[in-house]
Amino acid sequence: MTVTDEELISYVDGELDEARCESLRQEIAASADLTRRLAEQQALRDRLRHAFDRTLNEPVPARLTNLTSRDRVIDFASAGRRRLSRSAWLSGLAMAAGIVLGVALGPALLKLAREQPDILANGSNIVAAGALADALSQQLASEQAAADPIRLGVSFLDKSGEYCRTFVSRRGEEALAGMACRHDAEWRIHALQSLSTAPGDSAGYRQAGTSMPPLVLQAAEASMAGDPLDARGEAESRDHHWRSADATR
Amino acid sequence: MNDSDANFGEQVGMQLPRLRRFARALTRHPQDADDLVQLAVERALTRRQQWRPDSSLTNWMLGIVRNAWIDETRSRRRWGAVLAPEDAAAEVGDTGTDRDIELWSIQSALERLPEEQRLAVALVLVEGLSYREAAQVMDVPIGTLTSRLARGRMALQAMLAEPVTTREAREDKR
Repeated sequence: MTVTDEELISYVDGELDEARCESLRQEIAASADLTRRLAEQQALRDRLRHAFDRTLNEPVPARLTNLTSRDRVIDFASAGRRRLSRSAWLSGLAMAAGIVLGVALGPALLKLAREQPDILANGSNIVAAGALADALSQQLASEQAAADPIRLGVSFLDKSGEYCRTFVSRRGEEALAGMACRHDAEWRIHALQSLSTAPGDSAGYRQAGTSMPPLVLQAAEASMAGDPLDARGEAESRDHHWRSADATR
Repeated sequence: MNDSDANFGEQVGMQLPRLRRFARALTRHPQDADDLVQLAVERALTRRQQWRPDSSLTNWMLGIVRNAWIDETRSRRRWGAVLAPEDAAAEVGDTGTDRDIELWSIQSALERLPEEQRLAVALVLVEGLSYREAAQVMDVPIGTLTSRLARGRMALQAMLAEPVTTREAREDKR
């Protein structure tokens, strides 16, 4: 009777039933090849078990422990509920004063906020989450495709030395455009505008999906220090996790 | 403000070392691994009502890391942002200790496995889950888990038993 790889590793992992274990032991004892395969798999199991042990003893970075600290969690949990209330949103945004140059809220935004967890109210800040946060952290304007649901516009350093990026997040016939700046390992939304297009309106759809609305562009221009990043600067900043010059010291 | 929210956060906080270890088995770069854990924790905190208190919080969180990782690798592939192999070689440098080199070899080998095999190996060998638990986290039948685990381990054994320089040829055959 031949011993399959699956049986062999189940045996190594203690997952094979007792009856089959017994017959397997006899076959192993009778075969030099099986004995070798068994020893290899046992050694591999031990190597993998211990290779990552060190990670368990490393100090957990503050950006992770902060997430689960008491205050922060309450913010998160209530943010989940707050997402349904437009008035709380508006006041939260208004309190983020000064930096919010233009906010247009419409039925599209309320619906978007309900339907996707991509934007959260975190205390008095509005932060990107989920796919939007991923795209802000990872996606390069130089490599994206027209069909991508989230598209990045310009990336630049603002006057306080933080990286900011403009984006359009499209969902169905609606889109959300804005500017987010990297602060304390999160993307704070500094300007936001909802765009809505009539069903079947292909020109409008295209516009909502690909071009940045003027209010967001104005916000970007007002906060930009110097020129926007070129493709190389964008890629380098991404690879350095959008850490500002101050934070990397 | 709700105390149970805070307690839940504390419980999730206690999972962080294990989640980081799991993420390191999935993605080689420590920053990427922590990004993954961060994403998973954010998702867990906003979806806490989906966790059943009679089930393992660790396994639920491992499942969230798994999903976040799959989302992440898919979107990266779409953006074509893959790490060049020479970057990886540069990471170890001349200063690596034996343990660094061992970890690097294993991570590089894991990285060459197809996603689903890598997940099976990481859950069972690195995280020490039973086959049943790992199958639940991956949301597949036990037979599927066992077969992915076996294929992944045979491939790892072949990769780790041979010198680094001959691995490139294997990639093409996969």
